[in-house]
Amino acid sequence: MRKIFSPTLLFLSPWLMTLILFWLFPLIYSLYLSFTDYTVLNPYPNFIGVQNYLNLFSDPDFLTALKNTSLFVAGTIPFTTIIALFLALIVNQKIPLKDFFRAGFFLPSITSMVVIALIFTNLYSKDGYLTFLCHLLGIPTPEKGFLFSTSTALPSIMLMDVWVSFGYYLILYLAALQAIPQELYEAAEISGASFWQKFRYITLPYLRPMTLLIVLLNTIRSFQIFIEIFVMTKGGPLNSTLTVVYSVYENGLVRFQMGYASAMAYVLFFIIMIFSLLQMKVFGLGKGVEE
Amino acid sequence: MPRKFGTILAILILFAGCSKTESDKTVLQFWQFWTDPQVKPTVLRLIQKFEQENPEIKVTVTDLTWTNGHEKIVVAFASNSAPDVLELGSDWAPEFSSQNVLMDLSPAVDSIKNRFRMWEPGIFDGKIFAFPWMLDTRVLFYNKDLMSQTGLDPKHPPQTWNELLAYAKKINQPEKQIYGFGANAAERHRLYKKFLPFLWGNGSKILSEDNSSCLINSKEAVEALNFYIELTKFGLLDTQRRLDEAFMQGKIGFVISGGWLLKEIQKNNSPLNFGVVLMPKPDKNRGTPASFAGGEFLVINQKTKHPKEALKLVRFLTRLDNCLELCKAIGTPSPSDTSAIYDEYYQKDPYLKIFQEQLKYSFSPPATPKWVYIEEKIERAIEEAMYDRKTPQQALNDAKVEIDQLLKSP
Repeated sequence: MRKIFSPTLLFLSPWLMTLILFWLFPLIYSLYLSFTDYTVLNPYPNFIGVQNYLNLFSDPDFLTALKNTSLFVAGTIPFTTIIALFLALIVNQKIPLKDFFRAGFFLPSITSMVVIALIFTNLYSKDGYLTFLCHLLGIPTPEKGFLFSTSTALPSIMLMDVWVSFGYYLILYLAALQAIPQELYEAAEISGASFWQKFRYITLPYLRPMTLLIVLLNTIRSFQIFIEIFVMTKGGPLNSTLTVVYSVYENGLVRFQMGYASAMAYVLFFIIMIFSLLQMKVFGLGKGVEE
Repeated sequence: MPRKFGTILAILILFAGCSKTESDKTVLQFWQFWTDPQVKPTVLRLIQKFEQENPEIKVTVTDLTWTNGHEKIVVAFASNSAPDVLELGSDWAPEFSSQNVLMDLSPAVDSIKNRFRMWEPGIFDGKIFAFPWMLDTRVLFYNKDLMSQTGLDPKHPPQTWNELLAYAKKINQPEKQIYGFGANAAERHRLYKKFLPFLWGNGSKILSEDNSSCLINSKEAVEALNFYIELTKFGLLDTQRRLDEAFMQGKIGFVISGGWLLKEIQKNNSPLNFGVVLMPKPDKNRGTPASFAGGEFLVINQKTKHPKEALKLVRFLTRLDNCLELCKAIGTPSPSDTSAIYDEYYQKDPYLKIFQEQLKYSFSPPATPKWVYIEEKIERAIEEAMYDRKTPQQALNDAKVEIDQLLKSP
């Protein structure tokens, strides 16, 4: 009895309560809901086993959403990571206005995503700046505008997302770069190593743990893409930008099919988990720099 | 320990019970959406007036927002904590009316029904569940300068489909960033609102009278879709927000929009030389200038403990003088009372007069619990035709089959 009311638990309780009430309980409850036909206005859900999950994989909209989300992840992460690394290497040098560039690249990360998405909607529109620029340069633009053509809508959002997110990863890379002992480079220089050799045999191995972190974080974030879609296209045109989390929103909060939406969310959860495990394996979790 | 807790609980319950019986006033919970600092005081003043007229009733007002109000209302009904009286947007009136959570108002309103407009969204199974409060509709906005620049007479805005199409064609100059018609494209939950007016105007309907079958592949509906798609070719495809913006910048000749755009133009003291006109008819002597009606509805919770008092509040708020006061504070909407049209406020304003006229030809989607799905199928069909995946006829045929299936499923 005394143990339960120990001060440790008492001091932890605000956090524990938050964890249980707003995180653990909803998590488990939505797992339960994913096996029911719960809709918000029907207070008596029926247990229907894995029916929701079976329906998901014969639902063409969900399959489209899965495809689009995968395209989004595969199409943004390599670019974001490489651009972040490349620019981090540059702003890590002694170049003029170094701090200005660092701050500038980071700026999109601290700007509200909704604001960015609204501004980009204007940029991408048929009477917007980007179309104007393309006209000047003689590049053909889609007839209906970038966000309203089935072939350019998703790539346009991907491009925006790369622009928004690389700054954050750039700062992470910068931190990792500055943690590399300077002596290694000096030693290499004495041995006559070229710039490429230094990059290949010192910088890259030292950046491996950070790369793992960046790719992991970015994978999780990219699979959950929602705000951009919600603000810019609402999944259209013709579902060409429909993503999994947007489908969860539509099914859960517009159609109130909470059971079905929960099942979707859990499918996404498992996909992200599998990807994360794979990435850890590929990059070698916990393995430090090879001696 | 548990016993002590129980005692405390019992005392608390006792107190709670006491406080209720102590005051003889009936407390009504009222949820509403008017948080705008220019409108909220009027709502509160009306409530105060109501309490003075009915000293035995006290009203507690709770504000909701359009962004999360819908979710809150749904959750409240699901958890039995919904208020006595609440305001619903016209998109939601059919949804809740068909869910068996609202009080049947038919016995109370049957005798006064004809004095008000727009009962349809609140009618389900022949019963009335929602009382129309304030109405809004969409009209055709046109840019007078763009019309005269291309040799069109701004005193004669388009009245028929063919005129609108011909004028839009004439004005449209994408290379100069001037567009004929502002068309919604691929915007979920909004696209259908722009297409349906043409369908209704051409004499078609979405569902049969008893909501048992879908009529969306009728000859008239296909004509309407053909026309809408033809129209989008001479204009700017974008979201409503961007279209309104572009119209205010003078880049668009014609756009279908609502009172919010009128208010926005006036608020910004825009030098834009514009006018508003009724929606175009299919032809000079055929069809109607139909439009999409929106607005606010008042509903009563089926489980309210004070149905009489709740009804009193609804009747008070929809009374012409009270409703007019509120509409004037908001700016553009109109009371659901049909005699509001004779009020000076609407007669003297050249824009609002058109809105009033348009209300006579305004429709709203049928009240069915499946509407949210039907809406999706219709939008899918419009998109498929717009993006050349299917012909309009084919797209609407397929939509009909799918909607019929939806209507048959329980």
